[in-house]
Amino acid sequence: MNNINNFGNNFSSDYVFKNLLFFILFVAVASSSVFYFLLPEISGYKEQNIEYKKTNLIGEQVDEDAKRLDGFLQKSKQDNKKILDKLRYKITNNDIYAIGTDYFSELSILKTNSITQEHINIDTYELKGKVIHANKIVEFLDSLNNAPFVVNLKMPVKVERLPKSEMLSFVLEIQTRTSAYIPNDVIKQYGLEYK
Amino acid sequence: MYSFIRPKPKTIIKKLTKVWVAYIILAVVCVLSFNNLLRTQIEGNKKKQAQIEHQTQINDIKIIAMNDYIDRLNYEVKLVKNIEIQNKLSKEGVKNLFDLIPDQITARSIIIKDNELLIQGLTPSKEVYKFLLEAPLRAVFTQSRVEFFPLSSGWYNFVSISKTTTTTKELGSKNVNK
Repeated sequence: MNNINNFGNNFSSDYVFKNLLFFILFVAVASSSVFYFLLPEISGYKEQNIEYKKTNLIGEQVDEDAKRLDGFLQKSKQDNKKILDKLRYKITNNDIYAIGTDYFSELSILKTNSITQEHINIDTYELKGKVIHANKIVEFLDSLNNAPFVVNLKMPVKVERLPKSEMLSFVLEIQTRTSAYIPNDVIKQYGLEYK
Repeated sequence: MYSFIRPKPKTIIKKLTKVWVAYIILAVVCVLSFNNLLRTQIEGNKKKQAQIEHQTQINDIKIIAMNDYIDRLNYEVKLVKNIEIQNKLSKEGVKNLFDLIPDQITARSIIIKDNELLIQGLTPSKEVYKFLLEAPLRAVFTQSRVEFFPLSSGWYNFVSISKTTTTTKELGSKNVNK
């Protein structure tokens, strides 16, 4: 059925009506598929994206903290190398003799006690010997900090003048300390332990 | 039979219907494709998120371990530094105590404890002891007492015990540890 409208164009009202129906159907199908399929997915994507960004931000922050702490640990190990080396020195009896022989004669050394406190091995040695002058004892005490290991004087110090002699006999105790600390497996795994 | 119009081909589904159905299918396909794309992105993000969370957990454990290890190293460093200070103080303390004994007095035995000093020796007179040894001892220790034992030569054997209630600065090893 062809009609001529006011503008002089040919059109079919049946054609327009069908188109209109199809258009409505198209809009209905398209909008419902957008509504039922796309919108939930978009909101899910948004939520997930927010979660992802949050996780990423936390991850970056934690990573930064880990790197900063790693740097601090390395610096701490480097700065205190001498001290940490001293505390990890494997002490032998010869080392104990070595610190005393420069100052004393007839030196005898006896290990009297050995304990572990807070992962530190503390060994106590009794030093007996003879010395020409009391100043040598002072010099010996002065040299303790220069030993390659950690050692300190323990009271009491006994000094006696030997009868019919210029020599003095002395008895003193020293304590050595070595670290018995075993770092956590995580520290070992990442090679962060002090070697 | 002759017709004035050309015959039109007849189809079951008209062209208009085909076009609209095609559009509708295209729209649905577009929506589903976009939906699929979003789902793929969500899955991808979830995997990345899981990786980040895993790495964050590892870093968290690492941070705890490193903090613990730093604390331990600091403890060790502090311990050694304290011992070094203690050694210096012990040396100074012992040196000062040896220096206290004047040439006029002969010390036969000296026992230096943390808060106590015991000296046995020989003095030409009680006055020499009092002026040259007791006065400096009283300056260092809170208590100082002495017993004299006269000798036939006129000299005196003496036993001096000096104590302090708190560790003196000179001997002050204990204070350093605190």
